[in-house]
Amino acid sequence: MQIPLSSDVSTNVTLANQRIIRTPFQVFRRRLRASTMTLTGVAMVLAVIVLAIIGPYVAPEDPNEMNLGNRFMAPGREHWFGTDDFGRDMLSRVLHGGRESLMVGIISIAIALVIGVVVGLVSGYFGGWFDMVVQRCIEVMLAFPDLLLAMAIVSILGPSLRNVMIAIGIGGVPGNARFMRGLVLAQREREFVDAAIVSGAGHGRIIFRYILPNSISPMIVLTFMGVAGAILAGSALSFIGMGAQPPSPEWGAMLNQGRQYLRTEWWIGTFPGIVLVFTALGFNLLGDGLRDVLDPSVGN
Amino acid sequence: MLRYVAYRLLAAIPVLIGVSFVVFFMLRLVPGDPIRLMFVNQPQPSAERVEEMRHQLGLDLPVWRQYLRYMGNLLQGDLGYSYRSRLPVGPEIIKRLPNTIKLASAGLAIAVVIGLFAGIISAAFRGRWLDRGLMLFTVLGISVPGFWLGMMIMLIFGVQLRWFPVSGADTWQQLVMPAFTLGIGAAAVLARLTRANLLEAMSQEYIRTARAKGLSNSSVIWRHGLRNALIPIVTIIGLMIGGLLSGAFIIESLFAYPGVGELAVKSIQARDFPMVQGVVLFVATCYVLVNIVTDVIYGFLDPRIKYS
Repeated sequence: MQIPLSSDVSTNVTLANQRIIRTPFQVFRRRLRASTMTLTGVAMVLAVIVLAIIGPYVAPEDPNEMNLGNRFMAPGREHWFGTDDFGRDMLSRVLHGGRESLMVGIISIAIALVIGVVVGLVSGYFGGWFDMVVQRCIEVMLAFPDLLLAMAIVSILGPSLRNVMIAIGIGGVPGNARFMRGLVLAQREREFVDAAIVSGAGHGRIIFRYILPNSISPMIVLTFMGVAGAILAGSALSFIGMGAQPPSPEWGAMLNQGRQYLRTEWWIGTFPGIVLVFTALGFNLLGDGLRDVLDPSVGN
Repeated sequence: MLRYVAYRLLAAIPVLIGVSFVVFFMLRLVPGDPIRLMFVNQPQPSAERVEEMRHQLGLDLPVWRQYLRYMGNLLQGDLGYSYRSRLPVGPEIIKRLPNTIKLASAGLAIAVVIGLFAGIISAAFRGRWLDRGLMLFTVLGISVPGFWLGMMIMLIFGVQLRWFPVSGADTWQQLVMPAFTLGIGAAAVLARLTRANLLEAMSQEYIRTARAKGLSNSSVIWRHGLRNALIPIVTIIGLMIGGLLSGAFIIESLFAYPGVGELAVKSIQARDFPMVQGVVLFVATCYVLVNIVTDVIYGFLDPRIKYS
């Protein structure tokens, strides 16, 4: 029996079908376009990444080239961001520093992500005494406020940018591991995991084929939301002399140098701060947007 | 309730033992001989004197006995001696503690007042320009590093306008700039959470009932929405205290404010490990205890929570 369809009805059916067959990527793109804040964040982050890549090539001068005849020149046509106490061009230093600050954010977050995911996966999946021991260790680590833990670790390892990355990375592990464990526990109860067990899949296959792919998305959102915090924590440690060492043009280290001249040469402590805020703002806007777009279940 | 408090305090004991364990091993992980580290920038003592000191401090004992000795001292309030000043660590921390408590409390007060107010206004004007503007400010608030904000506040209000002194901790005027610097980031976080919680509370059915009764908009928000939205915020405020304490490290150092944080930063820079160890242990213990207090307050505020 044929059911006569009016043209209106058939259009509606097609539209409904289109809505159904939209791929996750299309949904993602659609939601992304709808948010001005997220798009602004994307543009800002892209600008920072591009600057970090091409910055050293377009910088007018060598960031560490001293010129004592040019000390403390105010921002002007010759030196857009002025010069510092060694006569070094501030614009060139800011452009070179982007790489270091971005690297701190990305590497420390990657350390926290990888270790946190592995610990959370194993602890949540196998449970038992291992889980209990890991959870107690996490509780102890969470008893130290983030920055304090990072400071304690750097004080042992010694001040350097590499150690700052390790310290911030380790500081992020307990939170990530606990979050990942929660996700794994939720996935472990799902029917497809039971089905995999019944069909004879081994632990490795269940973890990597079923549990990890289904729980990683909120984890990545959480990680992305932490990039700005990691960049700021890295610069904070450099600011108190525990991170990048002179003559590094890392932004936090430059601000540390700038605070000595705050009363008279304001520009040394101002421009690196502005780019730092711009970078953190971009990542925070993007992180917020990604959370709304990808996973509304991860709260504020 | 009392049973719950006792349970939480008992459950905190293994965590605190774990914390002491981490802090104890912190010092053992530092590369170099601890006795030699005590004499950095000073003439090194003779080999006999080093051995004598090693024995005196118990550093020639097996590690587990060293730990027991450390715990024994700790329980008697002995946190060891500073490498730098040779003075006991505990009294030095206690001496500076009131300043840090003053700063953290003032910062928290600023955060709570600004954060709650901005969050409520934002939720009340949801989707309008005021809401969007405030939310943009809050993202900016969490993106500005405290130390740079502090520098800019110091530059404008301390150096240019000369409204407030740029360092010290004797008068309330000296507290204004560091407290504001410390509080503003926390205010941004609180504003976002208040807005989100209030909006969620306002979508509940009891709000519809309140409106159906004919209550005014402000009465619905203040008496019904906010009371329920505030409960989870109390937990966040408790958790914030840890962040404020460690944030205070950098802010105190920036404003040369003589608190525990400034002491910690100076000690880290001078590699004065017993002092670093003492401060880390002290702050972590405070943090654990504050979390317990927060959970207990949470129970008072929300009668739906049953302690078992």
